[in-house]
Amino acid sequence: MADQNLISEAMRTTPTLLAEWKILTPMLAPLVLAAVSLMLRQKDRWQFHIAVTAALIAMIGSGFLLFDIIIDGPQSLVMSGWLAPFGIAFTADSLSAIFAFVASLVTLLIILYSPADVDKAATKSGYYTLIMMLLVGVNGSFMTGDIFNLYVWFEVMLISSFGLLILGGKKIQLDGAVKYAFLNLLGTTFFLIATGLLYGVTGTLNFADLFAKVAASEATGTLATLSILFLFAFGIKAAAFPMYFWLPAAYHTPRVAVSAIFAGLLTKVGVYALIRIFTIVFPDGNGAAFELFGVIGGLTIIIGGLGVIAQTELRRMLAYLLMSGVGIMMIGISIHTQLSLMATVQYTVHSMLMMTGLYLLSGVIGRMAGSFEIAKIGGIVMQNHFVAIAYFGLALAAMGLPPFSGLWPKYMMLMAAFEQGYYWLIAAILTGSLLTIIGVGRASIQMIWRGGGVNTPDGQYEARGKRLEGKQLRIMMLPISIIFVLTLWLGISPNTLIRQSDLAAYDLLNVEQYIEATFGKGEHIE
Amino acid sequence: MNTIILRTIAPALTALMIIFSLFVLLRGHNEPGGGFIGGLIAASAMALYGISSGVQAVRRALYFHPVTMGGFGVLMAACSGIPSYINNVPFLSGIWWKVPLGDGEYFDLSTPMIFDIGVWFVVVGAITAIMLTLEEAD
Repeated sequence: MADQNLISEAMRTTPTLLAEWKILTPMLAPLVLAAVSLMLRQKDRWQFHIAVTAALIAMIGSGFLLFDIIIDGPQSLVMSGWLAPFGIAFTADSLSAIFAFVASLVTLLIILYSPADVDKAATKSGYYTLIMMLLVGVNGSFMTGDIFNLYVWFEVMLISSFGLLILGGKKIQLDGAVKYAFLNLLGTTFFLIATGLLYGVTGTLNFADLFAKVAASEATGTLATLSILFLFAFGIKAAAFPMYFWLPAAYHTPRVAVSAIFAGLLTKVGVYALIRIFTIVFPDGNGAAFELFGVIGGLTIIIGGLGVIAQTELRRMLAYLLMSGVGIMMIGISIHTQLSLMATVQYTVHSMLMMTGLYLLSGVIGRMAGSFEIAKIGGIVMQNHFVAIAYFGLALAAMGLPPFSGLWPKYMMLMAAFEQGYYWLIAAILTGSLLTIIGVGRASIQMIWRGGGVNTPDGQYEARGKRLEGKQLRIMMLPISIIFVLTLWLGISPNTLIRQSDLAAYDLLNVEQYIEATFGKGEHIE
Repeated sequence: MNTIILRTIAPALTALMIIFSLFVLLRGHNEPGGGFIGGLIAASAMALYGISSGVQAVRRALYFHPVTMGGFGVLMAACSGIPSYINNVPFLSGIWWKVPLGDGEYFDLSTPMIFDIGVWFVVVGAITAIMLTLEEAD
C-alpha cells in the first residue's frame, strides 16, 4: 500500500483521454511525416504532398487545441505518466495555440509556394523534410512547458534552419550562413548558460514550478542578472537592436521560400520566448528588465526604420522592416499591461502573415524584374496588375495603415503607452512608422509605377526580366492572395483576432490557470 | 589503407562489432548500453569496413541508403509513443509485453526498446552517412 502511495505522488494514475493528445499533433504529425519523407527522399513528387499533409494536420490540430483552450482554459500533457515538475510537460495556453496555428498556416502557404521556387535537386536534398522539421521545432517551442525543452526545440529549429540556409550551396549563402550560425549559436549558448544558472538557483526548470520558486527565492541579484541573460539570448533570436546584425546579413541569401519562412517564424519564436519568460518566470521584470525592454524596443523600431530607408536591395529592406516590427512587440512586453500584451500578440500574428506575404511577393517581383535591386526593378504594374495590387496592400499592412491588419495592433500599442505615460515610446513608434512609410512607399513607387530601371523617363515602359508563364504565376500568387485576403479581413473585421489576443494576454497576466493545467487539478505536490 | 592484414581481418571484425552493438543495444534498459552507444559501435564497424574495403562495399553491404535508415529510426522512435494511446496513458509511457518463450521463460518486449532501436537506427544512419560522404570526397 505504501508503494502505491509513493507511485501516485510521482506518477499519474488517472487515464489519459484522447482530447489530451491534441497538444501533441502540431509536433508529432510533422515529425512522423518528416521521417517518412526522409525515407522517400528519391521520390521527389511525393515530398510536396507529404509536406502539405504535415502542415495541414498541424494546423487543424492546433486549431482544435485553440477551441479547447477557449472553452476549458490551458491544456497540458506530461510525457510518460510522470507528474509535472519531474516529467517533461507540454503546456499550451491561448498564446501557444494561436501562435502554433498561425505558424502552421504560414508553413502551409510557403509549402504551397515552394514548387515554383524549389528545383528537383533541392527536393532530393531534403528541402521539404527540413521545412517540416522547422515546423516541429517552432511548434515545440510554442507548446513546451519547461525551459530546458525550450532550448531543445530551439536547437531542432536552428539545425533545420542551417540546412535550409545553405541548401543550394552558393557562395553568398555560405557567407550569410556563417554569420547566422555564429550569432545564433552564441545566443543559444547564452540561453543554455542562463538555464543552467537558473536551475542552480531554483532547482527546477518547469515554467509552472518556476513561477512560485522564483518569487520565493532570495537570490534577487542573481535572478536579475539571469533575466538580462535571457533577454540577451532571446534578443539575438528575435533580432532586437544591438544584436540584429545577423538578420539583414543572412535573410536575403537563400531561396525566397526559405527567406519567407524564416521571416514568418524564426524571430517570432524569439519574441514568444521573451513573452513567456517575462510573464511566468520573471513576471515583475526583476529590476530593470522592463525598462531595458522599452529602450531596446524603441531603438529597434527606429534603427529598423532607418534601415528600410537606407537599403537598396528589396529583400534586405524587408529584413529591416521585419526588425522594426520586432521593436513594437518588445515595447508591448515592456509596458506589460493587458492592453499592451494583447497588442503584442496581435502584432506578432499580423507580422507572421504580412512578412511572409511580402517575402513571397519579393520572389515574384524579383523573378519578373530579373533582379532584387530596387534600382533595377520597374514596370511591375504594366506587367501584372495583381502583383502590383498585392504589393500595395501588403505594403499598407506593413506601414500600419487602414484597411489592413497593421493598423489595430499599432493603435492599441499607442493607447497602452499613452495610458501608462510612456510618451517617448509613442514617439518611437510613430517615428518608426513614418520611416517605414517613407521607405516602403518610395520602394513601391519605384518598383511599381516607374516604367523600368532607374532613369527611365516618365511615361515610357521597358520590359525587363522574363514574363512569368501562367501556371507558375498561379502557384506563386495563390498563397500571396490568401495572405492578402487574411490581412484585409483582419483589418476590416479585427474582432476575432482581438478577442483571441485579449484571451492570450489575460492568460499571460493570470498564470494560475497555466500552473493548474501543468500540475493537474489538486495534484500539486510540494 | 590497403594492407592485406586489415583487408582480411576487417570483415570478420565488422561482423563481430555489429553483433556486439546489438548486444549493447538490447541490454541497454537496465544495464549500461542502449541505442546511442550501440549505434556508435555499429557505425564504427561501418567505418572500419569502409577504410579497409572502400565506400562502395559499405553501401552495398548496407543495402539501404544510410539517410533512409536514419529516417526509419526517427519514425520508429516517434511511433514508439503510439501504443500508450491504446492503454490510456500519456505519450511515451513505457508499455511492456511478456512474450512467452516456453519453459516458463519470458521475453520482455517493451516500447522503450522500440524507442531504443529507433535511436540505434538514427545514430547508425546519420554517422555512416556523414562518414561515407567524407570518405567519398577524398
